[in-house]
Amino acid sequence: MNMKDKKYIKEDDLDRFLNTYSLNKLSGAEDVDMANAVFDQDYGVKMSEAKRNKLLNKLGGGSGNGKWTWIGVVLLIVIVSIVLVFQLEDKKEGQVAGSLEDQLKTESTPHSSELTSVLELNEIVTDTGFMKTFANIKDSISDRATVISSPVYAEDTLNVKQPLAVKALFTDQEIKYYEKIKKELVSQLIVHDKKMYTQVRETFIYYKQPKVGVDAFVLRNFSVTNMEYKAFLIDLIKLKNHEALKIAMVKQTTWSNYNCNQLADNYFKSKAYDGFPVVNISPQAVLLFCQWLEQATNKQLLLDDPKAKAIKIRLPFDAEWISSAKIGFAQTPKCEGYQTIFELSEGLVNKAFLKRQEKVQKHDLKKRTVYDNFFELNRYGMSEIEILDIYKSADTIQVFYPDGLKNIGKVAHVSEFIQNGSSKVIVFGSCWKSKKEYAKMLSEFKNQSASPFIGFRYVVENEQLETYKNPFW
Amino acid sequence: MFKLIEELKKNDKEAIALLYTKYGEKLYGYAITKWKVSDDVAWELVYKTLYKVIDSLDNYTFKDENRFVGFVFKVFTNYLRNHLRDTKNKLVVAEELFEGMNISLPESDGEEDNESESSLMKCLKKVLGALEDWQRVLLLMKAQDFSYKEISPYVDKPAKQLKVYNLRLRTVVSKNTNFCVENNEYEG
Repeated sequence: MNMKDKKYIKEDDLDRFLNTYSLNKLSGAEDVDMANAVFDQDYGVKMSEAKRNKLLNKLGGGSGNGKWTWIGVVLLIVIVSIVLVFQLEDKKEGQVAGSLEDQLKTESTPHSSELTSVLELNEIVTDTGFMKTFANIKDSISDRATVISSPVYAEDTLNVKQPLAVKALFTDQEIKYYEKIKKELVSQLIVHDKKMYTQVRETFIYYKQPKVGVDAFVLRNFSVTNMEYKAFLIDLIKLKNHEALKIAMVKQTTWSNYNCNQLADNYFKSKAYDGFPVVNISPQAVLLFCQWLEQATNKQLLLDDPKAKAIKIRLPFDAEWISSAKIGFAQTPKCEGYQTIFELSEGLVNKAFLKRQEKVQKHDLKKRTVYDNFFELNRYGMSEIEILDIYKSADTIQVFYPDGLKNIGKVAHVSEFIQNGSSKVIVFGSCWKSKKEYAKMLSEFKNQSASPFIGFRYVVENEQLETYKNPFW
Repeated sequence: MFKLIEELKKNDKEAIALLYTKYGEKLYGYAITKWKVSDDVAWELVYKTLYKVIDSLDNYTFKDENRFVGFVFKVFTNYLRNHLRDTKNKLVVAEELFEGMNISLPESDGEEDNESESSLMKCLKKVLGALEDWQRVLLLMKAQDFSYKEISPYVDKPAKQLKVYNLRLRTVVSKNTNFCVENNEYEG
């Protein structure tokens, strides 16, 4: 056999081969030990009663067979008859009392509405429980009604003078829309929607020191978008959470420091940029966002299953990025220049990593799209016209989730906040013209506490999935 | 012969319900959580398994319950394997799922090299066979997404140590399998 024709096993793909081996072996010969191991576990999944009954009936073991089936049918007929007789009598009485009931219904409408407001408010307060320390949650029902029924103005919620403060931030319609976005975000997170999240298995990497073990984790596939960040701000606004809002607000004017006035006006505000990465936010704002999403997701998880274990949401560690890139889950652009945490000249990664990257990038060539060209360009130093020209290529992208987001992520290509081994927030990015230029952007970022070139994504720790146990150092 | 089988042979409803509770429900959970199949598929697999078990009882004699447990699991694995192969599930190498490793493989999409893939499986089998039992159990159970805590009692090692063992074993198995493929050591 030709050497080139031989197939070799890749460690990353070993599980598939092990599973194949298991199935071939177990289906050929009885393995009492493995069988006992499987039957000893508690999987926490139960068949619904309807399905169980259907199964037992089909197997001949259901209680619905034979004489009991007939007894059941007769009983059902009797019960249905009794219910029908009672309903007829109720209808007669209802006709007499009809006018009085209508009158009561009309009078009670405002109260029902108030009750709904209280319930919604409670829900939101629980939802963002971490903000209780900031929030003044003594809102009256009427306060709440104002928030919901009229457009929310930045000046109502923020006592800061920004060009935006005089403009309406969100309309009623937008509030409803972004609330829906929040629900989608939470439900995608709960199921770890494969198109939105990647489960990266535990591995060893060479990074800074000879060998580091990285635990498994779930990484979001794209940066957090403007629309998701708007959903976060709306929750803060509803809480009248001034302190948190001050931290979380997007500093859109930062665009103007780079002579990008159109983007300063539109990038966050216009719906056209909803699928673009949120930028111009501080590391503190990012941490608040993670906390907010963690709380909202855990609340939903507990509603779905009271025994569910809480998940944790945080910024990715640098080693996790390296691990994702090594395995091939995180796409890195093929470009020259300074690569921050992937920088070979600083000894952070070794040549084997770069070789591996080349292999992954070669593999990606098959799936290369027009958007990959933009992914390989760093926006820093470009004029607004040049940036807008690139952004225009996203005009034809229709679908937000998930392919649309993937392509917009490439068109918008931003650097991202991550954390290092000391849990310090750092910025990582690719394709910088030089280290000097990267350092310049960082110093501007420090002065402005925000940058139009930095976004973020998050990592999910899910004990239930065994994706994370202990930090790797 | 133990009582459950005797009762099942009489098509006793309580025995069938017990068969479901003891084995069917576990297999349902196993299929969904470890093999990521849908609940409908899991239901179908459990139904087929229990039906087959009840239907074949007259043809088999079981020395003890353990043998019966092994039989139930084997029947289930057969149906599961067929399903994963037919749906080309990502958790397995569908082209390599067949009865007996020497049986010729079904035609693939063309890109895969069947002959060398089966060489690879033969090598993997050889390498796994050379491992200690606990090492093999650890690798296979972890590949099926069992947690270290769940695996720990079957390998008689503390759960905390298993991650390191698993990572090391993965490297060793991959390396030795590739060495075997490279040198045609699966032959003979």
